[in-house]
Amino acid sequence: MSTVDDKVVVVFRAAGSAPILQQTKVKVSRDSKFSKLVIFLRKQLKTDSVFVYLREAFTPCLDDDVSVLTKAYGIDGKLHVNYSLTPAWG
Amino acid sequence: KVSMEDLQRLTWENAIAVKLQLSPDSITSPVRPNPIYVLVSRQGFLSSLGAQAWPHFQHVLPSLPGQQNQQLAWFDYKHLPLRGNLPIGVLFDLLGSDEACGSSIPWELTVHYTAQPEALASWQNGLPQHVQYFHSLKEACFISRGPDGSAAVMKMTGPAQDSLWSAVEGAETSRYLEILSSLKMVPASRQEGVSASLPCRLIVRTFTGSLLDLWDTTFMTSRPVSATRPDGAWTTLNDVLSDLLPDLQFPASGS
Repeated sequence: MSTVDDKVVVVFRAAGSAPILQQTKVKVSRDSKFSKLVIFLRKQLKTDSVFVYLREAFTPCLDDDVSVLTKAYGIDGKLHVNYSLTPAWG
Repeated sequence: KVSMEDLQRLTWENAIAVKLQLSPDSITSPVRPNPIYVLVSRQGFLSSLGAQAWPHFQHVLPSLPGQQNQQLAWFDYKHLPLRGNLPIGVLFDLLGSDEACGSSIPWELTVHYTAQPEALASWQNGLPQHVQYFHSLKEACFISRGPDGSAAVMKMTGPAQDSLWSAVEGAETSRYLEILSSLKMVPASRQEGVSASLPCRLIVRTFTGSLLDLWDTTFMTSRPVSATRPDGAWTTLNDVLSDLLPDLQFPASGS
């Protein structure tokens, strides 16, 4: 897992017509919940209507630890999160 | 011996007796309708219970355009709003079988046809129940068979997905198993020397105080579980729980 101290690297990837974030990579503490990433995206995109996906397929449990999700679904130790403003992967 | 097919059928046919009453805040009539008694599949979701209740209560509800009223249905157990994305059996195991809550059969629930409380809306992240179900299915298929697994769900036609969800809501075992078989969800190893992974979701209740604080002290986690241990033996439930909850002491497998 790609960690610096107790951090996990999260990579945000825009899908569909969603704008690309100014900061596409962030580091969060290992015990952060996935919901924290959703809240971050809503704030950055200035909308509550944000759809998030892992592995370009599914939305995980919001209260799962980012470290758990990275271990299970990460790529090269990083958690890649796709986001869109409309449902992208049905 | 019980065959896998029989086991699946028994699991799906297992039902819970529910006494459902209409909340006073949803009633326009001066006379409160009688409660109804229904059997609901443990595998189903609250939306199916809402559909069963609607014909009995709609005559006392305020008139709203279209099906808007029916879609507003949400439920509470002793004033605790119930999260609709958990199967009814899971909800009952969390709440209905707890002697501390003074529960009994039939399981007594209240249905509301008003705007959902904020706590429920935030849990759902704005996603309808059937959408959340398919996200869980895609995750499970990804764990079982990798990207091809989740892709199989996404390749389902709209009518096929609707049919699957309808089968889940109606606890129609045969139709559910028939549609699910097309997804080929059987876990398989994707790398030589690496065991197959099983999708596992654990809901942990840690509260010891008020029932109304339950959702603040309950968490859900999903993750792959290796089918075998490093020594080659089959992974047991103890192994799974010991890994997911390392702070708790579970007896070692085989002890």
